[in-house]
Amino acid sequence: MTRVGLCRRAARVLIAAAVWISPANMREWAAAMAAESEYVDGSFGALGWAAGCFATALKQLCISIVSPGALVTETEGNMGKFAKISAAVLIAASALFLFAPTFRQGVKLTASSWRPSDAAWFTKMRALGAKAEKRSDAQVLAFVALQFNEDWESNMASASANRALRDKYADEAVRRQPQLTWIYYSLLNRDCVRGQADPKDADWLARLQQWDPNNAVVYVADASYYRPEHALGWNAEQDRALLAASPRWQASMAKAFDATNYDSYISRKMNLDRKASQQERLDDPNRLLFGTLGYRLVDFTNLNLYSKYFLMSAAETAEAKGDLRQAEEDYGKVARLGGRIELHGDTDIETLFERSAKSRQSAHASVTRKERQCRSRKPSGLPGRIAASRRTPH
Amino acid sequence: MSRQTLTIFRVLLAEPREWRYGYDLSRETTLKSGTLYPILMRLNKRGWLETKWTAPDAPGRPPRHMYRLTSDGLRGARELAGVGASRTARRAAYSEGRT
Repeated sequence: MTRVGLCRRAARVLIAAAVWISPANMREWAAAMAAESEYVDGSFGALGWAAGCFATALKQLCISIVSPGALVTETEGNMGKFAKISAAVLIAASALFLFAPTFRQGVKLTASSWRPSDAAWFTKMRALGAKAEKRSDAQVLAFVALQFNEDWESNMASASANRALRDKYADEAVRRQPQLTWIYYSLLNRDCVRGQADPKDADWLARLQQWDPNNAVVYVADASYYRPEHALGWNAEQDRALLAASPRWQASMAKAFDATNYDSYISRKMNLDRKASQQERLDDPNRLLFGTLGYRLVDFTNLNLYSKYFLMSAAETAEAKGDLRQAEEDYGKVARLGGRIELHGDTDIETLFERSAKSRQSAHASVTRKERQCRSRKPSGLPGRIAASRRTPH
Repeated sequence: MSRQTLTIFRVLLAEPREWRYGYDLSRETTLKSGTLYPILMRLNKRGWLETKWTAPDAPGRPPRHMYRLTSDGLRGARELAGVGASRTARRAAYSEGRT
């Protein structure tokens, strides 16, 4: 194609674009400009004409966006020299902001919300994982493994590849630094649907229980895999029946309430995120904020269901029967776990459970008072016999 | 009122009852399409310029948009063109006085 033909063609493309971007109220003028371009002498002339038309249409489009209904400005478009210089100086001054790292970060953050996928981030993570593997950097390997666990947007093929890397880097990190075993807790599948659990979940839970056997959180997570699907705390009778038929769930929850420690590992994950981000200069606040979604919360439905339908219910029955020792023990389990959560909990949701446990603690305190009164009295009647039996060494 | 608008007025006032094409106006005023059309649109919106479509003069070519001043436009353009002319004259006299 000759240069002349190319110019004429480019002019037509520009004119078509001008017509296309023109606001509805300006269509007639756009058509007028387009028609007139066919009468312009010379291909270069036509191209210049088309460029002017496109600029006009673009200007009108901007006006229609900023001020709908004011398609043709009433003011004259002839800027004075002073105004032009002022505008140029202000634009140049604004550009200076780009030298400030905080401003650049802000621009990057705003732009990142328009990104259709996290592909760039995971590419970066793959490179970081490979680098950490070479350096034998367990902390960064753990960080990368946790990042891949938050891949909810990739397509099936890349998600599968990312999961394989997640498993590899997690195992490698724990092998090099066993104190990082807690990362398995964050990697556990959140759906917890029996039969559909991630095949790695059972292995990871077993390792967690072995590494941190006194942590209630690990047993609550285990119980989640056995909780009947419809036991959600909305229908007391149905919940009781369903949970009574689930001995595995009960056994795990009993271990959770007997455990002497409570650690949801949130602080550990936060520290790891902060440390790895600083070390590797990952200054993407949007991504780090997104990373907080990966903080696995304790399944408080399990805690509520077990404390309500098993421990509290059993304590009330024992208290009614006058078995204050048993009642104290059951109330005490709930109160003690509430106390541990109060001491070691990291989130507001944990505070909610802790408050509810505290209200139960007041019932526990009244039973304890009653029992102490029984002990101080001469053994007589049922409470006296209980007190006496408590004093008898086992 | 900008210098470019006054230039268009002068061209349109030369033959006020004649309809003019955009490209003709552009050639006579030496204004680019990106300057000419926003001014024509503004004048049309203000009611100073009337427009119409005409059939093409040759087959295979598109119809053309034509322009001329309305009676309000004629009055206003004459007034402003006069003011513009006297301003130009004053500037010229000032320049001559300085030299």
